[in-house]
Amino acid sequence: MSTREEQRHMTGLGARLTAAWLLVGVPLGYGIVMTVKKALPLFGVE
Amino acid sequence: MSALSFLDREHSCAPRGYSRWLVPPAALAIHLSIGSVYAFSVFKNPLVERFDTTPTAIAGVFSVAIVMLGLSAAFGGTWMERNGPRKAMALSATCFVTGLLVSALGIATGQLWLLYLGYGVIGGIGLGMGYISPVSTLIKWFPDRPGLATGLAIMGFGGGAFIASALSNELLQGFTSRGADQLPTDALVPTFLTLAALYAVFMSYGVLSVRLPRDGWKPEGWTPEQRSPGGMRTTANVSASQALKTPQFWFLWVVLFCNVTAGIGILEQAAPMIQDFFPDEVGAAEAAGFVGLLSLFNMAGRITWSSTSDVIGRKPTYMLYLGVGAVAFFFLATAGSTSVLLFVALSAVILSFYGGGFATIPAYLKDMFGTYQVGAIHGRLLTAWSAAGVAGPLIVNLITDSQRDGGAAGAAAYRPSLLVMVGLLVVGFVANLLMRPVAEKHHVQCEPIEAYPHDLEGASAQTRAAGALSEDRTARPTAGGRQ
Repeated sequence: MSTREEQRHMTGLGARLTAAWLLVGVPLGYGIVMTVKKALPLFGVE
Repeated sequence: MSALSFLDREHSCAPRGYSRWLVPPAALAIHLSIGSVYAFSVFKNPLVERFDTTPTAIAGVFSVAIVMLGLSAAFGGTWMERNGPRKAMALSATCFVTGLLVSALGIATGQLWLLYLGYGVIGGIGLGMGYISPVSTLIKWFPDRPGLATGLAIMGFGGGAFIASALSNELLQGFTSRGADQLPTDALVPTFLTLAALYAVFMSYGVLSVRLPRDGWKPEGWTPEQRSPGGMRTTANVSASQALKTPQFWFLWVVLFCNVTAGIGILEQAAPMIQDFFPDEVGAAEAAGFVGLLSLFNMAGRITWSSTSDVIGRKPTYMLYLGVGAVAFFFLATAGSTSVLLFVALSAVILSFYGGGFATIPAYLKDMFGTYQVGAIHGRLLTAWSAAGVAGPLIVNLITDSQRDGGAAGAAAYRPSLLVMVGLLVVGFVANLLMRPVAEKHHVQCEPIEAYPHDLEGASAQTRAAGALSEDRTARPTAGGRQ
């Protein structure tokens, strides 16, 4: 694989990795935030 | 070639240049979806009203789903190893989504048995196959950090409940045309249909993006350890059927059963328990917050403790779960009612160990039995989860009720059941102490038999991966292998 091809491959892989982790990370983050909000009354925070 | 041949094991092999860090998101897509089963309680009251039945009858749907999870994982594990993760994940997605659709039909037509069939039986099969297939694949991709890898996936099962709980509430409120003081019964069908569509897309991503490592692949710069302290990690392999004949499998079964029973005992009673311990300080909103906090620690424990086990070893990690867990339960029983903060802190530690126990067990199995049929062995071990799911609530409810009948109230009513959990954890601790390397007579070696018919990117020297082999024809005993 030439250097240019290698660079293109690495850029594509980086984008794919970012997209993949965002796809699962965003819903998970949403779920965690909602659960933290639900837990707040335990500490006297409404 | 059939239209579905892309699901075959030989088409799931990773091309050159593929990053193994693409596999955890694929695994998470499945686990985040099937983990929604733990948010089933969101639908409980609307379902009770829709079917004009008892809460127990609706709770039965959840129980059937969990039993089917254990059974399908136990009986489908070998099939999964033979057919590869993509086909198993596709089966999981199909069953899970079909289960939601059949449930919607049952709700629309007012037939409770369709809810049992859909959510409980068909959906439950999807849970079992979906639970084990990504775990086994991750272990193959991360031989250097199996605890981290399985922790990531199994953390998703805990996280899925958060997402589903919040999302289902939003959907129910969005679809209902009834007032805020009424149950959103009319929103059940569109909510189930919407969830089915969302999970179909999300799980399909996991199915399409999961890959198996090429035969002989290993992480760059990583070489298997030649020795591990106490010889508790092996490079040898044990088949699923042979694993059942080893004491190590049954010790681990006891370890998982005790750890899960203790955790479920708290989890199932969390809201009423904290209110009974502190009747003047904790109301319904705070109790709901306590349940949410425990769920967070349950999820955090899965990734944190499982990753830690890669560093300190699996046996010491379980000594921590069971030993420190027993101490925490003891203090919960004897001093838990003295302070809300102490009660919450001890419960949080216990729930983090509960989650950690689930997430670390696949890596422990890999250490003891190798990667050959680790998914199938994991599936069979999950019967301990099903048994604990029955035993945990039963122990707490029976003992607490008998204490109340005897006149005990508040924290005193829970004390005996919490002390029973201490005893259970001690039993688990002893079972873990008894863990030794698997005897060499149980080892098998898988011989390469043929190259992949649809070779990817010139990987022509590949051989069919271990799980695709027929145990009887290709496995032969081998000497050594234990490190």
